Amino acid sequence: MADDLSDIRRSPLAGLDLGSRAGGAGGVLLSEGAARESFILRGQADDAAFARAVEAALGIGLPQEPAAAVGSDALLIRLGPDEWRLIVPLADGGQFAARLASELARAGGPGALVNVSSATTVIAVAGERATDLLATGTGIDFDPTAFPPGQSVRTRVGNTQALIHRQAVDAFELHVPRSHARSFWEWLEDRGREFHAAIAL
Amino acid sequence: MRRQPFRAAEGGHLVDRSEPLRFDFDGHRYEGYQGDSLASGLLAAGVRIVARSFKYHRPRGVWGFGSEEPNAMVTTGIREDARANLKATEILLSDGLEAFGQNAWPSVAWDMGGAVGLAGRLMPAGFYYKTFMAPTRGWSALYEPLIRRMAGFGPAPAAPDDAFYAKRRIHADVLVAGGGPAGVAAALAAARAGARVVLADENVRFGGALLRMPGEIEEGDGLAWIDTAIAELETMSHVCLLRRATVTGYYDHNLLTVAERPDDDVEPSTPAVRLWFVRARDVVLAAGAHERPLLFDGNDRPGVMSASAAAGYAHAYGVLAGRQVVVAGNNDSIYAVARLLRGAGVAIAAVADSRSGGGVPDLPCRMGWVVERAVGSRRVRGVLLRRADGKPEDKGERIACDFVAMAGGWSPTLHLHAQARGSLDYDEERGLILPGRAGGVNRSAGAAAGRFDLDGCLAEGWAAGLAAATSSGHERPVGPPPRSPNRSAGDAPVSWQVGPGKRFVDLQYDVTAADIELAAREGYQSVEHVKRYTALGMGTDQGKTSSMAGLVLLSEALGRPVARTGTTTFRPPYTPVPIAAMAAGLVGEGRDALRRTAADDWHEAQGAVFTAAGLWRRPRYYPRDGMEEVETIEAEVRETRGGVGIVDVGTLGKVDIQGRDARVFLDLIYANRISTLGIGRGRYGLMLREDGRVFDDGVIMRLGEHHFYLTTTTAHQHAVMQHIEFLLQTVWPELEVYASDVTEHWFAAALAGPGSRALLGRAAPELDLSDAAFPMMAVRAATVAGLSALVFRMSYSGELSYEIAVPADHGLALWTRLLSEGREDDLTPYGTEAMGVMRIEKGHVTHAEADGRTTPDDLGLGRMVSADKRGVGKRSLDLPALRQKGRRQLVGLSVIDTQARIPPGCQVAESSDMKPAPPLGHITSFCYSPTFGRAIALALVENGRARTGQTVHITSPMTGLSMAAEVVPPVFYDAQGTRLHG
Repeated sequence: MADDLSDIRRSPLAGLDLGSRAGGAGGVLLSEGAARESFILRGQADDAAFARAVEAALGIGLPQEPAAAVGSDALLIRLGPDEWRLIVPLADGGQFAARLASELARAGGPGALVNVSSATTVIAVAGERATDLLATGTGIDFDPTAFPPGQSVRTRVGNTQALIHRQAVDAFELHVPRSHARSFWEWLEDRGREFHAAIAL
Repeated sequence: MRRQPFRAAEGGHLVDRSEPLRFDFDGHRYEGYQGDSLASGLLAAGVRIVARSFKYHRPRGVWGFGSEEPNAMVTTGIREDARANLKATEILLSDGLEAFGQNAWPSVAWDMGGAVGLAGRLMPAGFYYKTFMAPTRGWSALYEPLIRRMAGFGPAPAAPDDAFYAKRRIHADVLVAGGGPAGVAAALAAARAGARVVLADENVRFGGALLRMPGEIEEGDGLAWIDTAIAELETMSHVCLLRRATVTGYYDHNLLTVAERPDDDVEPSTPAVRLWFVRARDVVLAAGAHERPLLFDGNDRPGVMSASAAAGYAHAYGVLAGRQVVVAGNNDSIYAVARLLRGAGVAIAAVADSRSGGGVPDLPCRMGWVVERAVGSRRVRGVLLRRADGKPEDKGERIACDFVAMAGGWSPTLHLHAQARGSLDYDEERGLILPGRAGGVNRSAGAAAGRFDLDGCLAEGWAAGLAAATSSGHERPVGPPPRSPNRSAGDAPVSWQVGPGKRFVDLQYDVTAADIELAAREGYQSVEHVKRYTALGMGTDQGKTSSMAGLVLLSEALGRPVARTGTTTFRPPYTPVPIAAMAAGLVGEGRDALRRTAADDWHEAQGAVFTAAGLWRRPRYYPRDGMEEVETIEAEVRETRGGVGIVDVGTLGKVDIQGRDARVFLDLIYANRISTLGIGRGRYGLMLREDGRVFDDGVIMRLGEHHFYLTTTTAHQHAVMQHIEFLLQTVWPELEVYASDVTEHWFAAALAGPGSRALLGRAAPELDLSDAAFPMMAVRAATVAGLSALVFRMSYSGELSYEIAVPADHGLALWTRLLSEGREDDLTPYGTEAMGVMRIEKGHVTHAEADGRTTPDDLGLGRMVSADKRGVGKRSLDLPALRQKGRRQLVGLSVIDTQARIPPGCQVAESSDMKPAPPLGHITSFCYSPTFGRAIALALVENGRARTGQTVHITSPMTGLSMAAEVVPPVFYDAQGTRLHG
């Protein structure tokens, strides 16, 4: 029997010992976001059986607009013509994914569901200078009319690529590749000097 | 003694007289005020010589007011803090500033180069093409050091610049380049209409020409109107105002760069330069105009300056460039300048207007007179005036003065318009090059478009701002445009009289009118060639003040119209941008996207020596007390082959493949057949490029009916993924296959060695590890060390081996648990060096062998190519060139002398004599094999397989080493594979 997962999870940022460096107040606050279960969902947007299976399992419909995200507990983001990302809280214990897998199987197995929960590290960037800090490393237009809260985009940020999810006007979560997470954090801190970035736990 | 002898009693809207500052220039201490530029501070202190010129080492003073300055080049700071080639006009004075004039030793005031007059004679036009032709050896030995000392600009910094530099990307509906009356009107109109506006201006205060000369807007002071407009813009959240920010480049798709210098004296978090990347829907180009010089003998002497700059120092800083002035020019601006200077306390010696007739009664006008020569060497002491229409033998009239304000008319700033590939029109009548058809989405307004009257600038700016806002979809009402009673500004004729003496066109690079004429006489016709031959416009000022004069002189010398001569190409940046600003966020430790595996913290804690594998870092070996690197690596190999070792293979690329057509697709992308693979089984697979060469290799595991998991080499993770996506999207879009890169999700460790079965047996007690239940190339889901895992039985080392993969979040737990479980087995962690030794011993290929030129047959893998199916690259294998005899084939080389070690970069030769001859082949991988007690290598050798048993020579022409080696099959170790079973 496998152990309780929460005890053995290890963040790639653990080696930085953020706790010892937390504190300060600045225009932007950096912290490690809560870990999530994360899945790549592939399928054809115009495949009715696929769309029904997703809606039956998750209770939310497939977002059709590019970069659109729906849901809150379970977040479904459209990343490409046949690609979505499903992000659910770790506490869910894999239930969303299990339901989705069985609904897809019942529909005859359209598309693909791939667990990538360990593939990304979540970094939260918040505060009145959050968009300014992100704008040091990405060309995304952060005007709320162009990129409203709730929306997501996958793009290059600084020295890595990230899935940026805008939670509020001044609050973002960045899902970055796990192996890059530490050097990206170091990059963020360096660029954050301009805004007196503070670190929170 | 007064510290600021040339500061007027009052005036200067940029300076705060209650805040005196002290600064050093060339070792002398001076005083200025808060708000001064270094140039105004030096002028106030009476410092006239600020730098020495590039070629002739002539003394030079302040010429201009802003970024157009060609003369006043200085270095600030010393040693590691030194920043060279800065314009004194652009440096904000700060308390304790240390600056040095450039191009002079020991100082600008007493310069050896100028004193001996040596440099000038060495350097006629095109000097570097003529003087230093032969002998070629002379260049590096003699000429270059000589020229460098005499003609260099500022010193290169002695240490890395540790100042903070920043970048920022921003989107706008309207970017307004230039914050003079036209630009501010444009920004105000666009912002009121609702557009997102970025307004950038290079000065510390918005106002443009109004900073230098007062004007009237809306029945009040023009600058006050600007301030009110800026205050309104500052209240708007959709407006971004950038001061001391120069729009430096205009690139494709309306991307513009803006170099902002937030402040010169900074706290650690304020960048020295912030480089903005502005993506604008529309652009208003309102960058104003540059004043043109007059070309008279000695027009470079300290004290000869742009008339508008002279006015500007008086108006903006309350600084007088001298006590007594001759104002000379060819347009009406000279009267306004003369009146402003007179009002500030300067005596007007003469106002020389090259036009005949007219004049004003309140000034000592000389109508139809021009300056023939400036008198004085270290500074101006007077001018020689003569009649413009007079004969050469006429005696001129000498007039004493201590500075000359010259007004040669205005050249619109076309740089951004031209960088955007807009066309240029020459207006013969007005003598102006004007922006024509726009390149990007932009519109020029104000002086940049040839409107020199204040009312016209306001009207054009306002209209341009409105149009730009409308074009980006913003149409809120904006109110009436601002007006000004200043509604006329006479144009200046384009004519530069040329005569004897040093008439400088390009002050920064010391190009005279005679140089341009010489170039024309020598046959140069293209303005681009003349630029490169004479260096005209090649300085850091990029010819802002000189290019028009150069153009006209060249046209006159060639006897053709100016419009036919054309201009040189305008290239970004408009003003110099520090490389450090371009590199901001990209340099320094940790700035690379270093990739770490899930066990990286453990490796680091163990003191592992790392090696770079692409962006990944991997342990090379784990150092041991008292052991050399080679001994350690040998021990890691020995202990693995003799017991059990563990290696981090988390860096391998991993791809999840699903879909009803997965099997069909895998058969197409691999050279060997994959579709027959049973569930729970794996197979080694070989991928070819379209041209038949080996692209990548890895293992394919079948996890379910339509579900596969494949590995790629660490190096080709992204390339393989790209290859797969390309084929799926374009070649076989009808196949229902989904490929997902899961490299980041999985961590993997390999247990290798005869002891691996016992260790894994204890870590995964539920797993039956017998050969029958878990054969080679099988995959099982299992709980290993308490963690859900996938276990593959495969071997890279040649020993019994298992690879265990877990989600990367559990990677460190797996690694540490296996290590503690393995304590009783003396489990040895090993790095990439030991891994490499074992794979060479086992004859496995990597990208050293599959180097993009080799076919499967070259590598001895020809039998893997399935004969009865199609696949990428298969057809190319029939090319005659890939089948002909004499191709290099993979072999093993066993060095006969057990003491010999193979150096890097070796060839394989028939003989040991090292005489030049085509080699038989080359070494691809080599090592010292602790297993065989000698050096071994893999090599690609002509007809290599047929040479088995022969002796060849491994030669290193670079080191002179040569050693005999026997050709053997590439699999040195356990060719029968018995050790794979433990």
